[in-house]
Amino acid sequence: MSAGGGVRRGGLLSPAGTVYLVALLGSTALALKPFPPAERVLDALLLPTRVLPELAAPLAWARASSVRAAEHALAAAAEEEEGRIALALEEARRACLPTDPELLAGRRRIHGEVVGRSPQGLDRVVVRLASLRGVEAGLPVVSGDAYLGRIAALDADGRREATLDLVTGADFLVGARLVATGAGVEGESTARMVVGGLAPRVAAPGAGGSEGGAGAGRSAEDHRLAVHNPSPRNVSFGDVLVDEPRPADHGGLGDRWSWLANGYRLGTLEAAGIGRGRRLLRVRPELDYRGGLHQVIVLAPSAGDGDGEEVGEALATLDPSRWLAARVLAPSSLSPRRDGLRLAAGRWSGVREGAAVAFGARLVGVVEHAGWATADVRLLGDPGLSLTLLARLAGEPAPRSVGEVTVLGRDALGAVRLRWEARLPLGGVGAEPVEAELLTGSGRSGVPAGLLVGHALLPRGAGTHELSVRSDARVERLLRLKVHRALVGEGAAP
Amino acid sequence: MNASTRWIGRAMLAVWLTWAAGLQAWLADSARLAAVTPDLSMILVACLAGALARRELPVLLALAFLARQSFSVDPAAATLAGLLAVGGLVLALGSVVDVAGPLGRGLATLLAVGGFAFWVEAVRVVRGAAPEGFETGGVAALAAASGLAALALGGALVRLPGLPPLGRERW
Repeated sequence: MSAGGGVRRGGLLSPAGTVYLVALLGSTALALKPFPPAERVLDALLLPTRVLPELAAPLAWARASSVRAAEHALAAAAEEEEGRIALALEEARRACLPTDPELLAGRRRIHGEVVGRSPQGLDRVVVRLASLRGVEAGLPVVSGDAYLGRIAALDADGRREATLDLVTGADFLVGARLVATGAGVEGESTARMVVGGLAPRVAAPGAGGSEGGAGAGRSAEDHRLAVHNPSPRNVSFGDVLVDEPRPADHGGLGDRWSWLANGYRLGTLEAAGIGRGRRLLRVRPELDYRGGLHQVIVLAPSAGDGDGEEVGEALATLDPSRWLAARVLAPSSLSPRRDGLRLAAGRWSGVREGAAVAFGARLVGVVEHAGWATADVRLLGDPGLSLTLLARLAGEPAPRSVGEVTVLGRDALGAVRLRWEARLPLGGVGAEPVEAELLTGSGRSGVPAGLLVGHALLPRGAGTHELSVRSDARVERLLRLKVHRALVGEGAAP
Repeated sequence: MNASTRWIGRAMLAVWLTWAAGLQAWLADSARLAAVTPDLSMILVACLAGALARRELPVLLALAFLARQSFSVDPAAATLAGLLAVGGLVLALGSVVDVAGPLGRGLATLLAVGGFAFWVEAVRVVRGAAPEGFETGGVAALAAASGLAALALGGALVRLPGLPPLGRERW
């Protein structure tokens, strides 16, 4: 008898065949298009997977001694690493303050940290503020001397969070003036304009006139702010500063708070040829609005002396109350090129998708899926994992924002390959790549800023780069890790 | 064959499937062995699908789903769909070759491992989790290594302790 005899006898239209077909089609559809309620049901069916890996526990005994040695070595280094990242994050907070004294006068500065993108779109971000005192919708938000946008709304549940409208939004407009390059706030205006939204993409020279042909430089090319109604039109370069009327100006038509951002930089003006002698004016920004936002400052009117800067509590990256200890059940890498592990803690313990998994101050991975009693973790070498990073460059105390990177896998030597779309050049002296220590940045719910990722050489130019990150792979073999947990109501998202 | 013997056989089947998946995960986690580790879990499924009594096939697939998912970060629905397809494939293949014989087992494993890896990669591409697009590098080597392993070890695998009570009567 062959196994096929059963198929012929039963047939696909028999009750068993119908059940098989429904299960096959249903699971196929669910695999291609996730449907959370059905996934919760599957998670319940998979509860035995909390116990089954224990059956294979003896397989781990073979390397128990090396794992213990690695745990001791990494734990010994953790204290120094934690001190180092606390210092780096403090420097980052200082670095987001405006440097020009003119930009500080008469304004209260409230620190904030980007905690994620708003579900309403890429042009909105959510920030956690040091204080809500005097904060209201419409207040401008900056980072260093650069303008970001304005507060769209405060958190409806009273948490110290606010949603920001970025200047990249299609319906965002802000008044601006053009000054000579490097002239600063005191510079004489050579033109006035309105800035807001992203400028249309211009085909790169030699790209065959196709809009989509800009190639590797496309992401950098996309990252320009649109200029509206410049007056006069025959300007080509210079620094673009925010210039909004005060409430009483123009017959009382001025915005209530936008003037607080006057003098903050939007970027540098450039004119791109678009054929037939026509030009498109646009602003090259100084921030990566897509993935490079980290620490911000909300500007509020000052009430008087001593009403300057409001700094919240230190960033809670390593606060023990924000971490949950979890045991590693097993490595999880049955499919080619996947790099993961399974934790003995799930939704019932407060683990959520998108949460960071760490040892000491080192990032180990990110929770991809949280079942009821277990969680699947993507390790740093898992292709497709996306992170927002900061870089501590050699000789610079404050980390810089790198923006978003995507993991491509591991190379033959075990280094993690990252794709980095640098929307802004790193700058600095010389053309040689610069050695950097990579840390997690803000903006990913569940992944706190400042966790160590590894070391890499960063190219200085804008464009798409492939980085090779050296990290200590021993951390991925440990049997006890910790998972970042959300505060009540804070939530986490993948 | 009484029911209690069958249940003991099923419990042993769960143990062997879990050990196969666990061993594969630990070997793949080792830098030196990752490239040459065959898909042990799928080898066992493909060999047993051709050797067990047909009524045991749903049990085999359900236990393989749990065992595999215990050591995998692949989406559960993708694993379930892939295993159901592998079950159907072995049954269909059984109508043209003897999947209980060495060559049939090898062929079934080759197709099952290759098809499953291909399917999981396709799911990753559709879900936008594959940054370099559809990458099948390594799938052919994995399938070939698994097929050869099934050819060499399949006979022993279907006679693992505890499993004969679940087999066809000719055992």
